Amino acid sequence: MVRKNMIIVFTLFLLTGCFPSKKILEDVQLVSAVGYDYKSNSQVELNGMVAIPQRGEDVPPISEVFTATTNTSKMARALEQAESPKPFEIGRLDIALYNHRLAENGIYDLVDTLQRDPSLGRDLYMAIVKGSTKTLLKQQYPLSETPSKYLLQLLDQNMNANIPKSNIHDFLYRYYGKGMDPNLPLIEKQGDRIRVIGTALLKDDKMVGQLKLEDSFLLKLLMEPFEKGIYEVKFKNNQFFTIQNLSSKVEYQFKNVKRSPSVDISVKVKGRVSEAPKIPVSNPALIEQLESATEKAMNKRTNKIVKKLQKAKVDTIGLGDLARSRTRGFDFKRWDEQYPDIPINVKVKVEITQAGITE
Amino acid sequence: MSQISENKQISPYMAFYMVTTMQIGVGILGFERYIAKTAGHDAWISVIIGGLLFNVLIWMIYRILSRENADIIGVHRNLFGRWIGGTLSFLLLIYFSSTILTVLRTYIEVIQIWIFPELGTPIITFILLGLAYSYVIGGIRVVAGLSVLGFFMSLPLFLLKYYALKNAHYTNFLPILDHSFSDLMAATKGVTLDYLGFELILLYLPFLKHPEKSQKWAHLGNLFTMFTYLITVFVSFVYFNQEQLQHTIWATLTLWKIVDLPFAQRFEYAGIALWLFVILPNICIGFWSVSRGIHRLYKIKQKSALRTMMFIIFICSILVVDRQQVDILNTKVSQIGFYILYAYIPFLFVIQLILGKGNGKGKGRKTSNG
Amino acid sequence: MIFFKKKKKNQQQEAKSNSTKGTLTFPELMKKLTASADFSTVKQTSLSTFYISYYKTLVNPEFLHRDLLPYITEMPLKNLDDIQKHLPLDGMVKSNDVHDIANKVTEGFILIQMNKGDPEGLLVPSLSTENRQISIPETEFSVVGPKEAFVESLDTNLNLIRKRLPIPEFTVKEVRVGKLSKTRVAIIYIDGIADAENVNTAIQRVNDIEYDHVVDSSYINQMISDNENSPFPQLIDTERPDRVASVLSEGKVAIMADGSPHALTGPTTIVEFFSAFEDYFLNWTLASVFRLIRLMAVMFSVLSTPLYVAVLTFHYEMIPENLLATLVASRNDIPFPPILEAIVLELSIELLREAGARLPSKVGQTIGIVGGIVIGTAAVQAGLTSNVLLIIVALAALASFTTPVYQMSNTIRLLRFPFLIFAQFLGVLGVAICFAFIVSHLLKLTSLGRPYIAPLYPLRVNDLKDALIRMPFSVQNSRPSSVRPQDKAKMNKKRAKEKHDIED
Repeated sequence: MVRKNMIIVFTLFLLTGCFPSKKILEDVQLVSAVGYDYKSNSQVELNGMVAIPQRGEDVPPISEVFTATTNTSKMARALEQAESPKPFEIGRLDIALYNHRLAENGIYDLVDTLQRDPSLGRDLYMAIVKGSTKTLLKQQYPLSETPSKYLLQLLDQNMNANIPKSNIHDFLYRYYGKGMDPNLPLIEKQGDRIRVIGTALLKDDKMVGQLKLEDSFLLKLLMEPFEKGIYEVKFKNNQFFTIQNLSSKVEYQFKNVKRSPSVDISVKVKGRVSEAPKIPVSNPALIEQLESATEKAMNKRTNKIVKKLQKAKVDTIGLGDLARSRTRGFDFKRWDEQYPDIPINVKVKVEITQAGITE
Repeated sequence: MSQISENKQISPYMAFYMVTTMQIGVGILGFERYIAKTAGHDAWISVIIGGLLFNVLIWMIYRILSRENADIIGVHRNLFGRWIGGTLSFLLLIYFSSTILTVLRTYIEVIQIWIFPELGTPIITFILLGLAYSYVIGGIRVVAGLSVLGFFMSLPLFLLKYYALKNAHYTNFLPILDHSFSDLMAATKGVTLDYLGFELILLYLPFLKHPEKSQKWAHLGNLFTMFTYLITVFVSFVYFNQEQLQHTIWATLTLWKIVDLPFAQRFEYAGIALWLFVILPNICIGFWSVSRGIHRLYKIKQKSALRTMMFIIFICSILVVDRQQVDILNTKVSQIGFYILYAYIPFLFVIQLILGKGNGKGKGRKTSNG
Repeated sequence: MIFFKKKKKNQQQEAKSNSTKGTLTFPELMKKLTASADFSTVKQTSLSTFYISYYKTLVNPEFLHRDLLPYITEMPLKNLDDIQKHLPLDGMVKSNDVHDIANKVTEGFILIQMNKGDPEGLLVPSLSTENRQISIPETEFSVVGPKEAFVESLDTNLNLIRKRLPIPEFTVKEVRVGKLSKTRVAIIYIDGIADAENVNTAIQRVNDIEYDHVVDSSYINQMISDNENSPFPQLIDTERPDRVASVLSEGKVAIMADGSPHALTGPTTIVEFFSAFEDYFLNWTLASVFRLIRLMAVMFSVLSTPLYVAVLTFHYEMIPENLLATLVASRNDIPFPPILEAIVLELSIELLREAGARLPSKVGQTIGIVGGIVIGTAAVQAGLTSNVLLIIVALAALASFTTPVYQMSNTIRLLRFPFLIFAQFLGVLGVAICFAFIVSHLLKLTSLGRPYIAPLYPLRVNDLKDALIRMPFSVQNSRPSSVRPQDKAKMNKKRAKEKHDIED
């Protein structure tokens, strides 16, 4: 019995070398944001932002950016190791940024390395940056401790309100999926602020166009039910009012998909007037006017957006997939050919329910 | 089944736990991809068809065994005599052992891919086999207890599906029945692999008290497996679209990634660790049954049979080096399983009917004593 | 009275079986006895002559002079039979068996002989029992409910239980164990409720004890447990007579040793170790919640530090976003890896506990405060441990003390260490593997031959009413089936369930 136990213990000792290596929290460098910049057609500059904790409890961490240039991102990380005192770990990556020039050439290869890594989560945010990601990550922002934290909160907040939701999972969902195309938030560094300037439209993994922030709101209306978005409407001679939507609903109707398809999209928006300088909003008659003014403005604008999408041959709304789900034996090839010329009508219906707490 | 003393037997309802826990194994972590390959978003229908077919097979197995009132080794001996029957039993035991190896090796593969890339196969095989040994040595009662525990430990994992449903695209299921019947049948073949495992009942049935009462529990167990698979397929299909699913090797594991609890995020690490309690009953029931089978066939002590088996499986597990080999192992073993279940079991059923040997209950009992 | 007679009979039987081997003549015996300074032989010559021999230290002198001597000196007595007739005492034995005499005298009997060399003598029981007062329970204290605890005298203890179960079926079997100590061990059960097999197992195991001295019931606990090597206690050790009475009425068996203020009860299940007896004094909703909290506490106590080590060593991805900064900041200056940090802290908590337990209660408190506050704060400030871990370890220690049975709370604190080692090598997977090993051990464990984790496996739905939660008394209509009681019903189900209309 004792001898048998000895053998077991001995075997275990022999095998201890095969135990996994340790990644103790304070001994690794946690990369919390990466940015990819365009260098040349075959080369990418990779910037990894690391938050380095400081001694003491209440001292905020300092952010550092490590940079390397290669053709694949994995090798870039190996390069970065040379400068860093601790090994890099990307398991806590929150944000991946892509320079817009790079995005025009396609970003799938870069995203693919990220999605293959089992240590990465699925709620990683992605965004396209107008300008260099390096300068964006290197800046210290007074609004938040580190750029990555700032970006995370910024994107989180905006995706709840004005721009379509998109993280790495959504991107891949729309990238792989037939009859839909991905979109990503478009951001820009403005001084010591970062601004969401709109939505980047992608065909497969290449950026082909963009929408302004106001238009992103309308695109979001066409894509998903949501609340809390804000939209500004012009009302008679230079008077403006903003409307905040409390809920929205979108319905699609497909006609004759197999031969000559046409699509009706009807959007219902419930909202309240959040800001209306110089407009007496408590008047019921006026509310109706406001409603029709909003409807008119939105209708005009959304139809324009849809036309734009069709022209660029991007199906950001995912109409192809919706058509598939309503048609037996759906033919994607045919649909893709027809897509730019399909008549798509958007009808927005607006209902204004409240106008604040005072009269 | 007079040869087994009553206090070594377990209650008939244990068939429920033992059947489900044997069926649900590593496969469920990534089977969506395989069945969706042919039947696309209609693959859930194949899951149901597969489940129902397996209920028929369970019924057949119960008929075969209850006619002879013995386990499969006794049946083989009665029908084909000592030598041919013994050979058939031996081949069957080899198949069972290879399923154990498959489950073990695939789980290790999952660990190596998802948690510890540097973890050596020998050490983890050694630990898992040691764990299995400590259970099997306690007899069927302990092994069955483990399967009950595994069942209840895996139940809360269902709740995690909620996180995927928050981001669901329900239109992915439409239109229903957009695939041809042959597509569905091809997917059903794929599903078969995930229902495999319950056939070990061929060996442990005599250890259930009142085997005839346990039949309904076995059916229920199979239905529960079907239900589990249905939910899994449903959630994966609404979270991923078909094209994305083809790029996702471990769909369920990927789903765990999005779980974000206030005290822990990235649930897949905890999930894979908890999955140990789903894998372990698989391995333990397997080891118990096969070592019991060897004991019945060759009159070797069950303990030494178990040790030898573990040693062989340890060596085999080390010999399987990379992912491709694990894949090959999986496909080969499940192909054999497919033929055993859909060809050999019905064949045995018919042979038994024709030879009509099953009538003599006394005879069956006598020969099964060996 | 029935009880006493039964006991006496047993005593006689046992005395015979326990007599030391080899032949011993009477003079030899007397020589042996008188070698001890506290043995005295007095020659009484009043109306008739006889010799009284006894241990001064065992015999109650008051009894000797007030209750014994006056009766035998008053009148002329010819022989031992006469004396026996005249003495108004109970439990006298006339014996000529040297071994019997030797056993009795060493137990506190007074030996009366007519002649000094006579091999025959009358043995009069006169044990002076130096008893501790019945005090309040210390390890199983409860705010409400009875405040009696067992003392070191078996007879007093039996009295405490018997007055709670005044029925003739209450049976005590007595066995003597220990070559030197000859400890009286009582096996207590209710006839007709307790399963005969359980009773026999208990008696058999106690009889099989081979040891020179049995000082306390915890000796017996270890000697008769099904698996000696298991860190899990397999019998409940309680100091509450009310708990024993209630456990007996469930059909279980209790074992008590003379000289030990504890009773052992079995067959037990693991859930029993986490139920305080106070649970039955509280409303069932409260009791159930407290039981669940206790269960959580156990899980927390065992798993928190191992998970801390696992996550910090291998799975930094699992740390919630909001905690990450705190953890990194608190770990940043620590010179030790998480495992060392955890082990050092766990051990220092154990040190504190040991020191507190070995010292008088007042000093013990001080040690607790010094250790907890001063050392803890200093360690964090010196940068030796992270304050997050300090909180976790302290909470885990606290949680382990919520377990009502002392032995179990020790086990729980010990269990952490294998978990820690597994966590260090294999992270969360290691924790799962260690858990699986413990489960395999628990599944194989039995208590007096009955499965240890009974209501959970084998699954007894009926017993779950009083396991992880405690259902109201109206639902507790049957005794736990895991102990196989002969009489299953606790009460008349129908009468208990009778429903009353609104205004009835």
